[in-house]
Amino acid sequence: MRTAQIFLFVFALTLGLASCSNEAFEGPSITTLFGEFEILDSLQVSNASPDFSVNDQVGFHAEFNKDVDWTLVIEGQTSGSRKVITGFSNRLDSNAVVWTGGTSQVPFFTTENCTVQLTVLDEPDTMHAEVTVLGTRLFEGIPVSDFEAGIPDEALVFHQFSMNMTFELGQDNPLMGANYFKMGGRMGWNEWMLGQIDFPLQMGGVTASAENFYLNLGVLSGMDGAFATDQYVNILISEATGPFNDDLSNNGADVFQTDMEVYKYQIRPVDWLGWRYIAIPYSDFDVKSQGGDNVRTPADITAIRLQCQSCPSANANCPENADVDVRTDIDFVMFTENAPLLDQ
Amino acid sequence: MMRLNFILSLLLMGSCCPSVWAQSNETVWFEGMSRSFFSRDALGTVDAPDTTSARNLSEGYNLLDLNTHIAPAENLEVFAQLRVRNRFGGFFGSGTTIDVRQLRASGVIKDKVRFSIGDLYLKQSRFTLFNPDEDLSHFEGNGFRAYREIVRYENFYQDNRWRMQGLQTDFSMRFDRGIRTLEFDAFLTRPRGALSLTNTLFTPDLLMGGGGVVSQLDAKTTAGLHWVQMFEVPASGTTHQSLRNPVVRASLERLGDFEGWQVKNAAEGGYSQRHWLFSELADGGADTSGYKREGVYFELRNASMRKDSLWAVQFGIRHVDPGFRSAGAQTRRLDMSGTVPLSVYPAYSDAVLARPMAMFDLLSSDGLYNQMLSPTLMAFHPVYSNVLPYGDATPNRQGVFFGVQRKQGNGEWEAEVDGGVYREVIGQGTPDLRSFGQVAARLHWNADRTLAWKRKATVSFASNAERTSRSGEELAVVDLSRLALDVFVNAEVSEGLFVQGAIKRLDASGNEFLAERNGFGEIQTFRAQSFDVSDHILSAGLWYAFSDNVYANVQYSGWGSSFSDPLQPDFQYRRLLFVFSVQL
Repeated sequence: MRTAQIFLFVFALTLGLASCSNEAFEGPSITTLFGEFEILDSLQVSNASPDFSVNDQVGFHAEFNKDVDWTLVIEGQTSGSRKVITGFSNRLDSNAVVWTGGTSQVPFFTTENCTVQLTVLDEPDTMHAEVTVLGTRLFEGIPVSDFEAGIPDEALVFHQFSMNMTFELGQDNPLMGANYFKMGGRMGWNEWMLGQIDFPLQMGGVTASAENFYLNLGVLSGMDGAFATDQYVNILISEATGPFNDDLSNNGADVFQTDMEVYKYQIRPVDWLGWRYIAIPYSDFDVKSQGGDNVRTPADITAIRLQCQSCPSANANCPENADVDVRTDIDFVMFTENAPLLDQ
Repeated sequence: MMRLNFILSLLLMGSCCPSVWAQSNETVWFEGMSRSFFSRDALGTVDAPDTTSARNLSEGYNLLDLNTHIAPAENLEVFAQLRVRNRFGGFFGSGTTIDVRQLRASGVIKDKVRFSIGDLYLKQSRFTLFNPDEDLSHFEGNGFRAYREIVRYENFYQDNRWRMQGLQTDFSMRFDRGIRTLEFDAFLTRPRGALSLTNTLFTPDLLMGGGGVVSQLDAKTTAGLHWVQMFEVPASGTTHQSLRNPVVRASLERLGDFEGWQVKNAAEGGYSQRHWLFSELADGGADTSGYKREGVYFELRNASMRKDSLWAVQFGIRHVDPGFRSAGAQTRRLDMSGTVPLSVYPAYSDAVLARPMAMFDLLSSDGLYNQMLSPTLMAFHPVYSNVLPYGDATPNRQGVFFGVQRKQGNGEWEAEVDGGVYREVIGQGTPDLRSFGQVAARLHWNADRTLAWKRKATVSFASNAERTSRSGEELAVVDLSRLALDVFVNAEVSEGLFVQGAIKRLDASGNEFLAERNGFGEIQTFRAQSFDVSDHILSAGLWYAFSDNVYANVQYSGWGSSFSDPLQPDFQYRRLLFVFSVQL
């Protein structure tokens, strides 16, 4: 009898607890999620004539009746540059969805007219706006070189003396500004490395960790619509503290030797036509030589080496490279803290 | 290399000097498990040609798990399980691995307090710490016993316990007046160490502690109080966020008699809370908490058995709040997140399509199974389990359950039926509530007894049906049905040699909305999914039982899935399996 009483008590308690919930339902409304899409407030821009050189920004606003996958594309009418912002929400908040002049796909924006398109996945509606860029974005970072003032005096350039070597400034197809640095040619013997450029660096003020410290650079590839098989950019970063170039007989800087603290990353293969802008977190670099503590410390970086390498035609793996020049030209090389340059 | 030498020395000692084993006076003794496994998978007939997959693939391995028990003193034992594994094709150390698979020290202090340190197998209650069975295994016959044993052994599934590493102790007291006994147990484990997200970003250590007191109040009444808490230690990581998930449970059981029946009435209930603590270390601010969920559960159960054991009946009611979160009881064995690739032909149709998971994958891919307690609700596949995907502790369910078991007097057959009818407590994505129904049945016939055969012959049949429905708003309607069948025939043709055949089939059709949750377990959105699938495994083979613990199994299976969706080609594959398993 006593057990039965207990059972009845807890049963009543259960029912009481069951009625305690004050939520109508869990999660977003299915009716809204899967119901008919409506634009409650069409696309608006907060600043149609931004001057990004003085830190202007453009905010975007729109409102829908439900959460949707939306895509905002800003396209430069002169440069062809595109900035793409995506999200999943029922609202574009002009304080959160902003454009500060950066790009998602090089080339970079210039002073130009831009079209803005807002599309929603699986919906036919497209919302339009226009923006005129009055001043271009000045990116924050630690420049290695943009080659606008030529090859820096302290940089060291070395290349093999084979065919069509182009380790020099170019002006015909810069990523940004007027100049870029060409790295290419055609190897006549069984040698992978075509040439390189070394830069001394000073990073004293950097506080970011290796995961939050990025090397950004543009790489141009392709010659007459073709590119060499297995061509790549070999990047070495040194944290060695010795003199940069005391030894004038070794064709390069002195801080990349095998007993020094050097880290390596390869952009490999470089198998595209045109420019691509690449960001590499320093934490992705491998230990090349163990001369230090093997801890990637951005503040300790003293030099960077950018090498053009490719499978030589004399190698049995890529005889086809006998008929094509290697090209891994570079421009706008810059370190950034906390985010890749294109995410600024 | 030193470890290899050590193992070889141990093996040599065992094989050359049996007297060492025999004369150890039980201070050192060995046991373990050995398995040889070989499988050959082959393409079957498919809707779309598959020219990029190998027509057949084979793999296999030999392994030996050597369990060494050392008793350095009375009431003290050290246990180590060493695994030597050699995959087929591995020679001279290549492809050979040697691992320490388990380590544990245990003993009894002063003949009163028992303790274990190291690898522990822990279970408490179905709502606090419990490892619920994997999907589609309920009432399954022995047609795929070799597969199931491998999956469970490789994932350390013993009964419904979770294998964890830590410290456990228990002791009990008897009284001569008032209450009869008091039994205490406590444990502290570390299910996961700090996890490196990047070079400088680490999640904190994940710990789980708990304890319980069970008291026999009188000859027929038992009361229990249990508590578990999963938590992260903020200082051991750099993410500045840490989990807290305490669960408490109280229970009362009462035994009784009723006209030839033994009756057990049980009531239990509990409360859980889960939240994350955010440590504002950077600005020295006070810690804050967020993403808090809390809830209660309650269950009343009556389990009765006739005194001749031929009938057993149970029924009860259960309510589990939507906010009830118990990581120790709601973690699933099967990881359906899609992060684990399928082991057999993961792509098909010229590698254009990822092959959908099939019933055979649940049997054959031990990697799909999970050994880690999950602080948030894991993804599940509604075709395989939609009614109680997280076991009895599945949140947001209330309803009734039942079970009936009947045995024939002379053991010719036995039958079993169980199931339940449930309803959501609150809706998901709509105020309308889902309704769930589940019924499973099993019939096992010992044909040799009925037909008076000298050799064993058995037939077992099982079915498991689930139905989920939700009416109301047109866009949110749910209607999903699934029926799984399992037939197993086993006939002894010579002493210890059995011919076996098995069929598993699953048919599911309908639609469901799958909840997608963020890292804090909150529903972000729903994914609408439609199902119209038929899944099958046909198998035939031989089983030779050297003894109860030593067997060899050769099995040939054909398996596949067919879909009504023309964009999803059907597929069929075949497998030849050989397993030789020795329990030392």
